[in-house]
Amino acid sequence: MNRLPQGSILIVDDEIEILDALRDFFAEIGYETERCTSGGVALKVLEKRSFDLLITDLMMPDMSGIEVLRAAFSIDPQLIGIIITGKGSVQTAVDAMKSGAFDYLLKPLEWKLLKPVIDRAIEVGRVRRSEKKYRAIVEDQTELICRFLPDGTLTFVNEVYCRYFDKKPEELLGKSFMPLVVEEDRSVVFGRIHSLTPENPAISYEHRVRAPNRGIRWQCWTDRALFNDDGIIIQIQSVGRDITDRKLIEQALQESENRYRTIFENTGTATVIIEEDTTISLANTEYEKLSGYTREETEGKRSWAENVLAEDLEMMRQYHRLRRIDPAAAPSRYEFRFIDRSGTVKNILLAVDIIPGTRQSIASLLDITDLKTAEKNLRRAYEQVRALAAQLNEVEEKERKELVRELHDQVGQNLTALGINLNIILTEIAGKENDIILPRLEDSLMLLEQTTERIRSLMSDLRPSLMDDYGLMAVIRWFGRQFATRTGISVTVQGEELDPRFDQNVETTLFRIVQEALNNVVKHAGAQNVTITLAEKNRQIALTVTDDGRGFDTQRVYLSPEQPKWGIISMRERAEAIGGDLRVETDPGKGTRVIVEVKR
Amino acid sequence: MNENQDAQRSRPVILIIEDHEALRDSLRKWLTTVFPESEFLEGKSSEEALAIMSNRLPDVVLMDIKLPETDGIETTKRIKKKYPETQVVMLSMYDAEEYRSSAESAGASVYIPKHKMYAELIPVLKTLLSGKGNP
Repeated sequence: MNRLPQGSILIVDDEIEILDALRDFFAEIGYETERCTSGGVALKVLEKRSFDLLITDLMMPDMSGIEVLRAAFSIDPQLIGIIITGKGSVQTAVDAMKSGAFDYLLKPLEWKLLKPVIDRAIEVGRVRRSEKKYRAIVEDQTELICRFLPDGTLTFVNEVYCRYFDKKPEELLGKSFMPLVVEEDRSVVFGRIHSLTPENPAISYEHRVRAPNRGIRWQCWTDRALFNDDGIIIQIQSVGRDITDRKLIEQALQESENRYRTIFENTGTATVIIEEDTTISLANTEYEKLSGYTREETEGKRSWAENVLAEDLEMMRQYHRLRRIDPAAAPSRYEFRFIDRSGTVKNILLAVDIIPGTRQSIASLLDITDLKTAEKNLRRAYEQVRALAAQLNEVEEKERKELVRELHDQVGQNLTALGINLNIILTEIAGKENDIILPRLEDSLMLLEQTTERIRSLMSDLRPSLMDDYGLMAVIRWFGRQFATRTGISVTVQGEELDPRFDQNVETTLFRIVQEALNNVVKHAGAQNVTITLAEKNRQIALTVTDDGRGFDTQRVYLSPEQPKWGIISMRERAEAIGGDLRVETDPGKGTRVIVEVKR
Repeated sequence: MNENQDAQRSRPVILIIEDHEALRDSLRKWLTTVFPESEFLEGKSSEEALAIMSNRLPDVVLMDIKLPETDGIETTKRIKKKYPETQVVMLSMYDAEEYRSSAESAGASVYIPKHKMYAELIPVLKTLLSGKGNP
């Protein structure tokens, strides 16, 4: 040190020689001194004026050095105190330090060592004096500030610190802060403090404390150690703040994260998180099962593209890109084919979406292979049944046609011939009295007439000849007339005969649908009028049967197993058998319209 | 006109075209009893009808609407085109309007459903033949 620090030192010792020697020494190095031979005197002097440093002997008759120090500190809290002791025991030194001594000196005094100790003490004192200003700054802050010795003994606490723990400074100073720390965290805190070295003099760490009335709180502390020339920690300056709120948020986040993790793991569906470069960054157990790859093999290592069938890959790559430009631009639900580790191809229903605010997507994969197979089989079975039904209809129509031809060509003509013959006989015996033959003959003629009528109506029931001779419109008109006569419901038929005529099977089917629709009208609708229209547009034929009856609630009728379906199912099956489409438009009180559409 | 035709000028000629043999037979026998002075010709198809008519022109043709190959309607058209004077009576199992109107368009004078034949045929024939000056 080139420049001597200026300062005032109060020396207390019951041995006058030491007092003088010290006065001379201090004068030499530039300090002013005041000498007292007892603690009592020293305290009186101290009440009158302040000093930069108090040096007191430990062992004195009236007051011990420690007592002097304590009393002196209560007069001037900023005062720096040094104890001189003849008994070089460590315990004494510790006791001295605990009483608030800045340092201790051993007798006999080594003058060489004395100077740096005094210089530093004076300087610390100066700093401490300026602490009034420092404290004012400190108290405005919300941070907790303290200084403590390596063993945890607090030598300084700010007001925030006191308020935080609801204690007065004197309750805290001179005592270790360790009891304030939650038991489990103490060893950590201790470890951190003692990890400080001159090379790494600062450290931050978090721990829990018990704050009166506030329970357990989290704090974050930044410690900075002061070392002596030997690299031993003298004191630690520490700044702390309450981080309970942040910790709670972190904890909530962690819980939320855990919750999502749990959901992710337990959705029951294979789920992965996909990065922008197509890498799978997270996969659940179900995905392990689906793919045959373990999580370790997958996460951060495999691209989803490695498990996609080549035919589906380009489309999916495009979706992957599009989705990251605009999440709505790519479908979030579609099917693709997945190849597992063993090379088995699986049908997957994929649900994928961008995780908001990221470039990642989350995808869940549902294996619908079995469903697909079942669906395919079902569809095949249904198509077979439909084909059979259609074939059955055709066969039936063919048989009806044969039967009608037989009835016409043979039975009908025979009956006509029979009628003529009977008429000849009738003519022959006319005028001749014959009580037996004539009535029998007349009876026979009547029976014949009835039989002929019966056969004729049977023929048109089976298959109206108009169907084959004239076409769909003719047969519909004819049936409409018959229907109107039979039921009293007015029937209007609109439309032209199809030109060229349609496939015979289709015409027959459409006619059968008309018959069934009219049958429904008379059975259920309670209608007054029915309109049948047949129109062709762009090679599409539309047949409609509209009534002004009571209509019905389609939901109720279709969904209730008890409700009769009004022959709708059978009509629809007929329509589907010719590759057509049948729909029913109706509402209670609004009449019913059956629409059949068939392409040529 | 040949000699034969001249000799029989006054006798009405009725041609029956019907593919069902028993019916054709009954029809001829029945009509013979009613019109004993008429001459009856018979055929069972459109081709036979035209072949017969190229030899002997009937006054009236009783035409079954249903014939194998060419049907009664088409045959009537051909007859009326070639022999407009010949009257055609269409006989049919059906009484639907479509058949009647087809028959009439083809040139048939009368359309008679077979089940009404007993009552309607004789008066019709009498009327048609009366144009020939016969009862």
